[in-house]
Amino acid sequence: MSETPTEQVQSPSAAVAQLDASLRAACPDDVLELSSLGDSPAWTIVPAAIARVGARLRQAGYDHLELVSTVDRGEQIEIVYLLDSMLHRTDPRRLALRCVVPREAASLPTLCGVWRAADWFEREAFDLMGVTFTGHPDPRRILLPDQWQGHPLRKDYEYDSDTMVQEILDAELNNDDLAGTDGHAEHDGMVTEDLAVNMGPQHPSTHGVLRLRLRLDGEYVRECDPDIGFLHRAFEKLGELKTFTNGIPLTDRWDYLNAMGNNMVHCQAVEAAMSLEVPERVHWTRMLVLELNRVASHLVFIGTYGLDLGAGTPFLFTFRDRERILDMFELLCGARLTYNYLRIGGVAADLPRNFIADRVRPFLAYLPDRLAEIDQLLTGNQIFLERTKGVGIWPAELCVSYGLTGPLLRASGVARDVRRVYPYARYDQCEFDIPVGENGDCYDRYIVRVAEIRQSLRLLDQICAWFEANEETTRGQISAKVPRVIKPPAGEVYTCVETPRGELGLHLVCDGGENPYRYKIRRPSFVNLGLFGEVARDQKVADLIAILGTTDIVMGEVDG
Amino acid sequence: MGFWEGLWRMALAPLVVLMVVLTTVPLWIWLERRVCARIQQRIGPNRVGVMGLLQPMADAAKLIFKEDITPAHVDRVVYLLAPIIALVPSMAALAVIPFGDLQAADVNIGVLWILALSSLAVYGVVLAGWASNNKWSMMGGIRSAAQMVSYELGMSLAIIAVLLTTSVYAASHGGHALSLRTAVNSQQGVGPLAWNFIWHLPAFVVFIIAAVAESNRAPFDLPEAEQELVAGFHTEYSSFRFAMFYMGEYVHMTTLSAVCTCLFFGGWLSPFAGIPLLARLNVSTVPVLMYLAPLFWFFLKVTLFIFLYIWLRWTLPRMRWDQLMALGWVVLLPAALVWVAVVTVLAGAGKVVDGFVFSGDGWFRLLSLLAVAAAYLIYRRRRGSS
Repeated sequence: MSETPTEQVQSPSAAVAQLDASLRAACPDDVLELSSLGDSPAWTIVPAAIARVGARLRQAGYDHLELVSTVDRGEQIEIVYLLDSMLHRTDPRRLALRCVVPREAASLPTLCGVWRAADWFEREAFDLMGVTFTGHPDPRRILLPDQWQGHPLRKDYEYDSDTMVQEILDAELNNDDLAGTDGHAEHDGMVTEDLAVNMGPQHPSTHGVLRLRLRLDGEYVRECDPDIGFLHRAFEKLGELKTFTNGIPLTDRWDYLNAMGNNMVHCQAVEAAMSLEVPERVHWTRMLVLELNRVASHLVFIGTYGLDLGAGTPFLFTFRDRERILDMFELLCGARLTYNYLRIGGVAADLPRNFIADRVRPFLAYLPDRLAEIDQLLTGNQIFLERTKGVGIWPAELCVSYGLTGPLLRASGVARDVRRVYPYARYDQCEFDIPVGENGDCYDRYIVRVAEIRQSLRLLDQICAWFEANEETTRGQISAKVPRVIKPPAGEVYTCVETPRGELGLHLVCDGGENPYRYKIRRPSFVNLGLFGEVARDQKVADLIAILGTTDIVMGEVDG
Repeated sequence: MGFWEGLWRMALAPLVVLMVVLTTVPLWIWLERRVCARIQQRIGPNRVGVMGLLQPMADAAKLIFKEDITPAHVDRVVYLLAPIIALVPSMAALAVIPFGDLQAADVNIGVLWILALSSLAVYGVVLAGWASNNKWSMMGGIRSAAQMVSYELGMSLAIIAVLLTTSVYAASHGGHALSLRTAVNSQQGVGPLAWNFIWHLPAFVVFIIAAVAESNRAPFDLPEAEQELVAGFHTEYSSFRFAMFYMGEYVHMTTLSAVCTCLFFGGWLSPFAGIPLLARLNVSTVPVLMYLAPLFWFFLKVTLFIFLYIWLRWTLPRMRWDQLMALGWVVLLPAALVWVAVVTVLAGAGKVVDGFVFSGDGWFRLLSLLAVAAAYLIYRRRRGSS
């Protein structure tokens, strides 16, 4: 049994002590010990009491279930819940709960009744780690096929690929009615037939290999069951099999529209685990590429969203503008999509000479006019407004309960941005606003992203100014002193970055070896899609596409 | 009717019309691809032939030689018939359209014929959707049926409004009130000022919108909404059967543009006709030009409308089906209905005061302009106050 020690909190702050006391007073037999996870306090809870403690903390303002992670500790499986607050101010802001269950009977109560986000998190934990959650409303596998045997993230997992894959293929191919059978519905005495259809995995508007099993009543969606996992590439398993350095190129492939952000969360987590400080120039270089990548990703969103609504031309316009950013990245690292640019402790290469003056500055001058063009084509178009305003309204409480982050959450009026809440790099030294929406409808989710492009340009302006002031003095300082073999000490951290899709987090457990012991990714697209089954109900088919388009999911990230 | 005239009328003229229209289809496809490329800041096809003009031919050749797949699960007879049903009525509708002197058949119920046949084309789409035995295709077919029914009405009423004034003209100048030839003749006067789109502005707007919806083009392309229904009714079609739907769409566009040209844009009439200084440009006595000039003007106007179709398609997002229905039933139909009533009253009033300063027709035109202006002002004030 390889127990990785968790560091004891030496002197818990007053707030933690106070919460500890009140928690122990409210649930005296349920709370065991107080430890820490990275910077956050962590309480070990009696597994059977997790729902009770969870509900208690939910009342205390921890309205955001950020992550459900699982760690195979040999004889036991440890389940880690990360809680955060969005609509309330709590102190400490983030905390962790741990439950330790025996390996052979890995089961504990579900938290679905407390946070709706628990639904998909727990299905994933069951699928990959074999933890069952009693009382879960929908205890199916989520990423792997139903016929899969075993739970791949357990350390003793072995499988006979040939026979199992053949069984799965047989089961799928012999299923004549993949969509399910049509049913009957009654309207004012008139019996109509429900239509069971598959939307995807091959469909122009599901943004990749998402499959929605729909039950249609005429043009209305009565039931929607998202089926994901077609692009599952086992990044959490691969993360454990690769060394810390070799893991970086893999991160490019999670959310391939935001490879820089993925590099960032990996490097940042390893640096935090090693307590490594990176040079000032690295921070600014990273911010430069992160913000450029955010603009590029949002441009793709605007273009594809126009496409979803049947307007093909804005797509070409935004891709033309995105091309400029890709050219810059190509100059930086030779790649246009999977950059592999960040390194643990630094970046792969310094900016080319005059990069700011010749490339970034002209782009900052160029883009605002192009955005005005988009405003004319889409934002000011009456048909576009009719298609998006008042369509798919998501109240803030719903979004928070489902753990939504990023533009989707901010469109519903919650001004939460990881760059502001848990600043990384040098975001705390920059000025930017967090655009929020008013109604939480499709229009707001669209316009928030357009506004975020403008904020990114503002940030880029400040980043350029830093480089213009410090170019000569800091040139070449692109890496910290990093040991040749990277072996972070045993321990665990959780770090997160704000990607164009929301909070991308990494729960990294190290055992002192060359590979991560556990590599749990909080994939924002995956979490954001969790509420889709609920919000799709009773929408028109055309609106379903309009709403799905605003989630801006990347299937590479959803399927992990 | 002599032998040669009979041969021309019964056999050659229809053949020429068919050939001319079939030749324009690749031209429209080329225009669409080049214009949309310009709109999207691309170049578009420019490799096959001069400026890529032969590209549609190459595409057609490719489509013909592709394998014609008939899926196992379809209703075979209907499946094979549907593309024909989609294409033939749009082509047959062309018979009564006067391209200048060139016309396949000048029947006295021309407008009725067009309305009847252009609504028949929906059967092709509906049957294709149903016969494909594919749930998404069926939704496309059903959408198409609903859309056609909604827009057919507004369109017919817009045409009726024009026919009212045409019939006044026919009563005094002779000709059949429902013949498109009479409709064009009634628009003779001082260049474009005599054309109906000015004096029948509401009917013109209703007609244009309904025509885009009729031909299933964006922003009303719900039956084949790619982002929702993949390809809608023609998902299961391949090779030349698919090409027939494709052609049907363009022929339908041509027909509707031609009808619009006849009813609202003065048909083959030159925009310079009747303008004092430009009257010398009148070519109606020059031997060859007197036949070619009307054709030129007619096709120029048709091209303008095709361009409008293309422009709309590559600029606007798609509407939702309920918004589309609402536009058809709540906006276009009442607007056309009100306009028919207004035209009836104004044309009647014109008849009463006929000869007092202006002719009856002149009075109608004056009053119709005033009516549109008044409606616009009322709309502005109501909008301003709310």
